[in-house]
Amino acid sequence: MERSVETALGSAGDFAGAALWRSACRDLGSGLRIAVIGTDPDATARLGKRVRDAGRGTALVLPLDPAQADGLLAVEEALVGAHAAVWATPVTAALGETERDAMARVGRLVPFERAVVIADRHVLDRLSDDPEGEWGQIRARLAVVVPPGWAVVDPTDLDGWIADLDRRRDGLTRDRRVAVARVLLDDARERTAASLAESVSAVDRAEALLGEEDAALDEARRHGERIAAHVLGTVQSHTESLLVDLRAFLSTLENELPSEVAAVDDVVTVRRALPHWLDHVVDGFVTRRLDAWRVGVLADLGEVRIPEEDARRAALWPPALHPAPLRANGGWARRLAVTAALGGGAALALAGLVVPGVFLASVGLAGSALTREDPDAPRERLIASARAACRRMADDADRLLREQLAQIEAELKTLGDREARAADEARQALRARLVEERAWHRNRARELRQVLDALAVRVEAFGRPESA
Amino acid sequence: MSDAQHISLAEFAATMPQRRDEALPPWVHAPESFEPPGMDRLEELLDTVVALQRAEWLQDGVYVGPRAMGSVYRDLLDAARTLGVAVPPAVVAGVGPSSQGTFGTDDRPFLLLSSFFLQGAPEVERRFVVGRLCGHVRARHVTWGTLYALLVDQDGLMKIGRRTLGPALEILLAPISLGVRLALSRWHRAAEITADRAGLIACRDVDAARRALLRLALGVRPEVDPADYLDTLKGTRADDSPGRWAELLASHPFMHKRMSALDLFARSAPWADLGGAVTGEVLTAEELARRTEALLAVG
Repeated sequence: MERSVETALGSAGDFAGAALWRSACRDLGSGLRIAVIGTDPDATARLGKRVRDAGRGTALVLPLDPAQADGLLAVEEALVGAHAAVWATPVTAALGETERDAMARVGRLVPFERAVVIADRHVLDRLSDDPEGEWGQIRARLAVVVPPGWAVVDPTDLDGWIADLDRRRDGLTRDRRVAVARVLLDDARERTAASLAESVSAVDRAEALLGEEDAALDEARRHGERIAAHVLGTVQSHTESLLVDLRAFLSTLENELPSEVAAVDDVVTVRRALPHWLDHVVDGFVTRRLDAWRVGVLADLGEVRIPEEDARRAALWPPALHPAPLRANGGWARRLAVTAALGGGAALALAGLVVPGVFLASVGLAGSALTREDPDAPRERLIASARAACRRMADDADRLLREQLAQIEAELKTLGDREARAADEARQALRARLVEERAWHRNRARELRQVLDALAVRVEAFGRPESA
Repeated sequence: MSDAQHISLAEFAATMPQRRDEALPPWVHAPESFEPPGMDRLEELLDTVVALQRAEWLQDGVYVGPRAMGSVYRDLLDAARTLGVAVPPAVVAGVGPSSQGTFGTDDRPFLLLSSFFLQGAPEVERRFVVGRLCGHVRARHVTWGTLYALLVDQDGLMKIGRRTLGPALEILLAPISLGVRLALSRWHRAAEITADRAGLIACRDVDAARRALLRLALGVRPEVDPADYLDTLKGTRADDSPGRWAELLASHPFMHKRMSALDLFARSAPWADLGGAVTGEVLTAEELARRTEALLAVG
């Protein structure tokens, strides 16, 4: 029995209970042990001496201070190794309320053989005019207030009560062991049941949290996709509008070119300043328009409550829209032909072929004179060249801004997954801990159920507690 | 939409010289501007030559865009935004990492990037390289840098001229090349320091910037920590060696100087003003310029 109870307590993880059980078995097997308990330390000590003087077994004097939790624990531990208990109550205030409370608190571990004894009977002889009458009243009151299960033993009968216990010691030891085993196993079962409930609840909690995690990841993905859809839609519509405006602006600029060029007298200045002017004007327009684009996009996104941090993903940067080099000089074929004719004619003349030489030079001179370039031609060529540059810039702007748009689109396409992944990464540690905890608690709950079943069998085998 | 806010051509032409002197950002080292007569003609010439070179690079390379090297395009957009330049066109070609550069003119620049460098480069190193090329645009180095490359660089733009004119070009250009080297090398080295700073501003990571510089110098992903590299150099470099004068005509400062200059910048007020983390004593802009100048001194 000793081993089986110890094993059962150990398997329930109640190693303190198992140690207490071993100690109780050892104490109960070493002669009669009577615990003398009481809340009045002096009365308890004096009654303890009286029990000790009876000369049968060991008296365990256990003064009890109900206010001290540690003291209560020590008394309980001592009680499991006692065959019987005597409650020492002072004659001046026999079994007051505080005492009865204290008795109730230790009642679970007090041996079944238990008696209340009024200590210091002789004090009554000194204090009372009618000691016998008063003693009778005290005993009568005690018989009424004594808790169930407790006998009231007259101090004069105490020796006989102890002698009777001593005679029945073997049987008492057996019963006491069963009682202690039942209490300890019951305690272990209660604790195991509490642990089981805790583990089951921890598993439930972990599963609920994991469920919330999945929901949070889905929410993060949906949030990302919603942001992406709004940002992309807004950016696309504003960019289309920007491109229309830019084309209109470049078209207007193209139409204004002749008057702008005409306003500058010197063609050399026009040639020098025109490409830089185009660059400056277009760059200024694009910058201002992109600023307006940004304000418009942010306002639209703000209306649908897209957080500013997310709205910042919508960003276009000014593309490099530099005009191609403008050409003012033309008629290169004519120039080359005239130069070749004059040069060739001179060379022929020098070589002695005067007539063909003079003829060729004359053709060159005539060609030069007859096909002289209009003085306004460079200006016209610059305007034409600038117009072509404007068209090219419009095409470039379209292409470059759409490229940026495609880049934004590509990034936004995966925003939902990226947000979910980021949320998942941030929560991975928590998730791993929850999964681990859930597994641990599941195993623990399974083990506890097995232990609980085993304890229930043993407790059942010992029957219900006698003091219950 | 008509834009009534723009200046007329006549007004622009009258104020053009002042307009070209636009303020440069405070992180530009030793800002100098050259505006010799005939600059327009020079830019036209460069436009033509560079257009030929770019066309050749594009035969085997690719324009960077969202569908072609999207990650580099994103870095380009970020660098342009950070440095405040219009997004320039960028070409990735199979050239060596040291041939990467910004070419064209200040008004029509484009970037040339090396596919060998970009291959497997971490994002932060890509940002550094793209940022330093955009830095040349922001600091208006492009016209003179291109001219320098055209006349001095033996493996770059000069190649196309050599193909068309053959050895005659060498004979013709040899004295010009030496002259340009003498005139522009110091400026070019300062421009590279500015570009390194721009790269750091774009990538915002001093360690990554140093690793990227090391990779630009060694051409591969080196298994050496930049700090160890500098320590090793300190141990093996002889400061009194005649080899130190080779830097006089070099287009780039020696790598250890570039790294040290970058470290100086990362401790300076201009870097702190841009939100960079500075530990220890903060160098003023003047102190930074003085120390960088001393660091770049040859000899």
